[in-house]
Parts: sequence; C-alpha cells; structure tokens
Amino acid sequence: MPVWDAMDDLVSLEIAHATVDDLADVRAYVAARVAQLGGDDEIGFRLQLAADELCSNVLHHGYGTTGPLSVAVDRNDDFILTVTDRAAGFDTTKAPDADTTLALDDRQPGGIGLHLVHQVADRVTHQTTVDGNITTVTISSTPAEPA
Amino acid sequence: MQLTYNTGHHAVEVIDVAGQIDASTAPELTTALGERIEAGSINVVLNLAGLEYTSSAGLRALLTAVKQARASGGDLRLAAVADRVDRVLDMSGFNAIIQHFPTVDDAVESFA
Repeated sequence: MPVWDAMDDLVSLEIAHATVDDLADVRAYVAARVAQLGGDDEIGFRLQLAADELCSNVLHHGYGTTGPLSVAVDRNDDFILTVTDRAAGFDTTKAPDADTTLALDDRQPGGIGLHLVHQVADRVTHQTTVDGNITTVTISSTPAEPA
Repeated sequence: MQLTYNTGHHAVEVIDVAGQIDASTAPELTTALGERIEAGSINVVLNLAGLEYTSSAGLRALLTAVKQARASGGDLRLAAVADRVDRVLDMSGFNAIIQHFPTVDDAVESFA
C-alpha cells in the first residue's frame, strides 16, 4: 500500500532512503494531492513532471544513488510543490539552461530535466539550508493570458 | 514500462512502448533499443500510443537510440505520440530533431 494511503491527509510524502524506483510513487502522491486540493489534470501533470525531474536530479547528482527526500504540495491561491533534500547545496535556479535548438549531433544528454521544470513552472525558488536544499515550484491557479 | 516487438514490417522494426518512462525504467529502454539496432534493426518505429508519460530520462534514451540508428545508416522515428508525451518532446526541442508521424503506418511508409 502506498505510504500516503495510510495518512489522514496527504500533506507530504517522506522517503527515508529514496531511489529512482520511488519516482512512480512521487508522481502518484503529487497527482493525488493536487486532486485533493482541487487542481485539475493539467496542474497535476505539470507538478508531477517537476517533482520527478527535481527528485531525479537530487538522486543522481546530489546523493549518487539514495538519500532522504520529502515532497509536499500545498495550495494558497497557487499550487506550490516543495522538494526537500539533504544533499550538498545545488541551486537549480542557477543551473545553465539546456539549448533546445541544437541539432541532433550537438545534443548532449544532460540538462534537459531542469529545463523542463522551468518550462512547466510559473516560478521556481531554491534555498540552501544547513541540512540541504529546499526547492519550490509554483503554478498559478489562474491560467496566464495568451501572449 | 512495457516493450512489444512487432514483426511483419520487413525492413522496419516497430516497437510498442507503453506505460511510463522515468529514471527507473529508461535504462531498460536504452538497453533494448541499443541491442535491436546493434543486431541490425537500424530502421525503427516506436509506437508511443500507449506511452502515458515520459520524463527527461526517456528523452535521453531516445537521443542515444536515434544517434545510434543514424550512425548505422538508419533512423528511429516516432508514431502516435500521445498529447502529454508530445508536450515533453516539444518543450525539449525533440520534435525538431526526431521525425514523428500520426500513425504507425505513416511512420513505416516514411522509410520506403
């Protein structure tokens, strides 16, 4: 049984020894929590992708293989995803963006994940703490006006 | 993630990719496609009709496979891409570097 099914609410998903095998559970938690908070499938999709990419990044580049992760979704007017880790400080908002216009031969495998996070988010923040990192992804409840 | 290999398209191998691709499942896709191309299936169509989700890990697997297929004189093309996977391909610029078609038949015929 997924860990959050046993909870009275879905405030957060805490994984003590997370690996990439937990990413499906992370996405399922985010989808369930967004639905509980009244969000639609579009917001669920965007936050699932952001959570997946942020957690994958921490597991690969922060921990190497495994470490503790906390994932939470809250709502005020907007939807806010918070990913908390205990890896060495790495500011995702300052990472170089992938160049998505390069030809196939010039494409490198890295950097696409954080690019996607910034594509689906309306705002991304990062805070380095004494214990690790806190990254938030905000999606406005009100769709942006077409440019 | 589930992979299904289809025979009967002669010079083109059609592989159905279904389920979800993330950093946990992408290595299986990378290995499977690499082995097929290495074995001589250099013209590959991935039928993504049943693929519900991919993260950037799936894109990296596609990038590796497309480069390998083209280096061997073939190509890897996509068919029947569902909306959310298509959006991920679009956001990452992959729709500009990997050919994609509405149906498997269209993708297979594009190799003719």
